[in-house]
Amino acid sequence: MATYALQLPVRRTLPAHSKHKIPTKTFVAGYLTDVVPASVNGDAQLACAPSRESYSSRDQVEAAIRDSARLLQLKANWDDEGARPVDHRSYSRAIDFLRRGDSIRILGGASLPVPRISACNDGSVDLHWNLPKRELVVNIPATDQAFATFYGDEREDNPIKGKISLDSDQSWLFHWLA
Amino acid sequence: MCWSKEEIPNSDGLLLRVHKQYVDNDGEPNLGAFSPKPDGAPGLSVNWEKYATAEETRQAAHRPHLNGVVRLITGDVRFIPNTAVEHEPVCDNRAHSEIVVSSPEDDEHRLKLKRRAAWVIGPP
Repeated sequence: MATYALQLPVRRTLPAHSKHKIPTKTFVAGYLTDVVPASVNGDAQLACAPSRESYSSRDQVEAAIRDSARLLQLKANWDDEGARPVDHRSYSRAIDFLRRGDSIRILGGASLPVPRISACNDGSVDLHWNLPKRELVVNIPATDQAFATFYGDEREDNPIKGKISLDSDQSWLFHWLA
Repeated sequence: MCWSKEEIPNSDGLLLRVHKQYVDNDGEPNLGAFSPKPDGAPGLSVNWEKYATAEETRQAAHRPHLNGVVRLITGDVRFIPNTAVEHEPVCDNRAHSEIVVSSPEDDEHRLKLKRRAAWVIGPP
């Protein structure tokens, strides 16, 4: 398993002079047609699921984060098969990680898609981006460890996977996604 | 042992129960549905379609009405790296099988299982 600690090469479609500047039209033309509010309906459903292709405003990222706070209300055995409650520290680390990614978007002028924020039965938290060409999951474990695992690919091709520190800059991962 | 273990053909279907808590607003199962249980189980419990229907799989849940069932093709699952499918019958369930993941902390298998899953019953 590869462990990525350094920034990956900048995506080929980006201008060579600016690794953070991603043309807005790319996103408008490609993905913005399916933007929906990142809201959760009123029943017991707890996963936060915006449109899978949404590139949306900072407000929508924050709305997804607010909705995902419901994950913290999950009691032991929330799936009737022994699932553990979501670890509050894991949840906080996941949200901090997401907000850092969102700030990168703001600084670089590109959009960060809104991920699905969901719980696993071991109390860990998944951040899952499912885009037309690329898909990425980052799992923040239900422990004190400062590493998260990730896996991403381009519809089964060119996979990346490994562990990342949650305490350091991982902007390359968001740029890979974009 | 009540039932003998058999080899599951690649073309056969596997049925996986998905609790409502693992279903997103758009009706898609999220990745949590494809995680092994946190008790150290080697993999995901599924039913071999040869010996169980989707409805029987759903009814085996503690609260069936809160569960849907997705179907996976055995050969598609075996194609995922570090993943195997084994028939593990138990006395009260001849269909019981396991999707065994050799590195359960790896997120790859969850993403790829989700891609290959199709609803048979549900989502709840």
